[in-house]
Amino acid sequence: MPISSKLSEDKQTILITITGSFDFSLQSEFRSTYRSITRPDSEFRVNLQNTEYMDSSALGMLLLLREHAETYKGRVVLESLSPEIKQILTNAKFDRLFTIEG
Amino acid sequence: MTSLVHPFALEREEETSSAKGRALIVDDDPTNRAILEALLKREGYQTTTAIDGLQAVQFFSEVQPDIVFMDVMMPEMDGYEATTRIKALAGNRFVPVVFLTALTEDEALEKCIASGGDDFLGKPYKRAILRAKIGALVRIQDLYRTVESQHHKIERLHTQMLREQEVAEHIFSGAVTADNVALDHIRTLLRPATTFSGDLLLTAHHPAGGLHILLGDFTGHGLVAAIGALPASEVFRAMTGKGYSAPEILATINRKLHRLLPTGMFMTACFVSLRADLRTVSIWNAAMPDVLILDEKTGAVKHRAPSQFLPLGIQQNTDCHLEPSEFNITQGDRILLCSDGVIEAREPGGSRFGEARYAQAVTATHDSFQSVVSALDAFCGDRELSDDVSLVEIPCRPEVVNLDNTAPIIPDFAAQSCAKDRWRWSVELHGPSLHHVNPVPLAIGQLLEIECLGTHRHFLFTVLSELYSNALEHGILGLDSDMKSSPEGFGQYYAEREARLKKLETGFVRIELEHLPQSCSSNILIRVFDSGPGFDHERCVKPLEPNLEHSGRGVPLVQSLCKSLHFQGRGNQVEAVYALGKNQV
Repeated sequence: MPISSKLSEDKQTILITITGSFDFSLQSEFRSTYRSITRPDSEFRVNLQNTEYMDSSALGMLLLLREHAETYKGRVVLESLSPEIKQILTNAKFDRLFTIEG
Repeated sequence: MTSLVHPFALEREEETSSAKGRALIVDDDPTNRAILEALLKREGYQTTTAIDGLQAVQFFSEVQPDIVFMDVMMPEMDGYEATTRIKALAGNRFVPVVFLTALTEDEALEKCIASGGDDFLGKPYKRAILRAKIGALVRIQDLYRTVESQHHKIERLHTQMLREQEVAEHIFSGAVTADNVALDHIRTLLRPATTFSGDLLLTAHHPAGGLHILLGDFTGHGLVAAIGALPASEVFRAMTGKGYSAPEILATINRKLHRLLPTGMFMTACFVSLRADLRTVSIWNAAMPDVLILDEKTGAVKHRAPSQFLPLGIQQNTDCHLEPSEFNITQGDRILLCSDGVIEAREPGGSRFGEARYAQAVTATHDSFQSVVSALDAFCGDRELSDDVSLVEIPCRPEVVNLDNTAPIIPDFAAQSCAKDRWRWSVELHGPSLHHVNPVPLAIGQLLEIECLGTHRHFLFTVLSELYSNALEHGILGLDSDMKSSPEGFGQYYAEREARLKKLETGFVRIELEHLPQSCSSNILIRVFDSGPGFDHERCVKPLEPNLEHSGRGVPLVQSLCKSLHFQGRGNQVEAVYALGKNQV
């Protein structure tokens, strides 16, 4: 499974893990992991540890997630970035838009 | 219930049933043929019979049966061979071939299937089994037909879509990129992944000289990605043409894309502003791969402009100042831009071209552009592109930045379609308006409608200015150019001009422009009328003489620029013909 998601017990945090290539083909699957989460102050954590590659559509998908989170006063955290993924995100200056942890 | 039916008992049913199509019966034994024919007629088939394989192949083409019943052992051509040929003739059409056989050996049955057969029917024929087999085969046949018709439909739609996309792309790129400049000198590799490219290259000259280049890359590719190119290019051209600076243009494009594009869609871009003196270049890089400046002599990477800004269209306002990266350059240096499609290009095995290979190719030879193209081609092989690929090399040379050098008196004016329309334009200014409004820039603005005006613009400006000044200053205001003969008089003249203009309440000047396209050139007819008393133009038949009384130095100059110049009426009308041909100097 390229995308898996897990809701914490207090239902406040959702962890989305992306394995392999994060690209356009995951668009609808990625969206379906979070669109039903509308509880205020939720935290949307995207784990990119096993993400090998990200294209510009993936950046776009992160922006959509960010918009969703902002609608419900939540926040997005990108975690466990590989050096390659980190470079893609910083090259696009996405570190200004997202909280990045590790 | 099964029954062995006597063939002749069924003859009468023949006429009533033909709904199922035609069956081809192939058997060298007349009795077998007759029995099966009767059975099939009863099942609703029309029948054709063949006595051996050879005849079967021949009849197959002639009658186009829907199902074939094939004996195995026959003279001339056996059932295996005939089946193979029939299947080949049928092509994509599914025509079931049922072998008629008493054979029970596995090997022979296998051979039936291997030769292309679809089923067997054991002898003697049992009606129930025959019906069951036909039923099963017809089901498969129906499925085949459905799939085939859907396939045709999809194919038709696909072809139609591609055709429509091609037409749309043609119109689209015309609107977006047709006005690009300096493309004779800029080297580009633009490979869209689909018909529409999400990559965008725009170039335009700044009115103060110098060149603006924007290479953009929209999220994704194809039509959806290309949509944002239209507003981006409009802003880029309009603002560059009016003399806006790169940060102002980028901020406007950003705002426009932010308003138009849905969340998740944006444009990464690099903007290069190459100044006319070729001493410095300013680069704004918004999430594109590093822009490289290559040394003229060694081809080495002299400077590097990495990404500094967010892609355009994500936030309403751009990073506050949009401070560029400024670099000193020398004439002959080259600026190399690429979209991430170059870095992310894949080889058939799936690995990326990558930064390292790109960097290596850039410095591999002096001709970095060609090295990258060759390395990329060698790497990707014939694998289909997964993203749009753009590579652009801008030589820092005068012909790239200099507007005048890039349009040297229009090399082939007649060939340019923009010069073919005939039109007329006029402006008339009355009394006080003559003080407030200068009609010459208005007229020049109109002439700029002729897109390929090039340096004619400057000459036409001179002609119009001179003729208008004459009409206003001598015709309306009654000033005498003799006043200008001394330095003091010169100042006096213009003071008097200003004073008289302020008091002006009546009178008019009218400028008429007419574009007259001709087969191998094009003329612009300029007429200027004034309401003044005119002058004795007959007396000035040789207006080029240096001691002209009435029209000062302006007229000889105008005459030298125009094909013809005539004063008319009482001297209050002048008609000049300016030729927009290749021989114009």
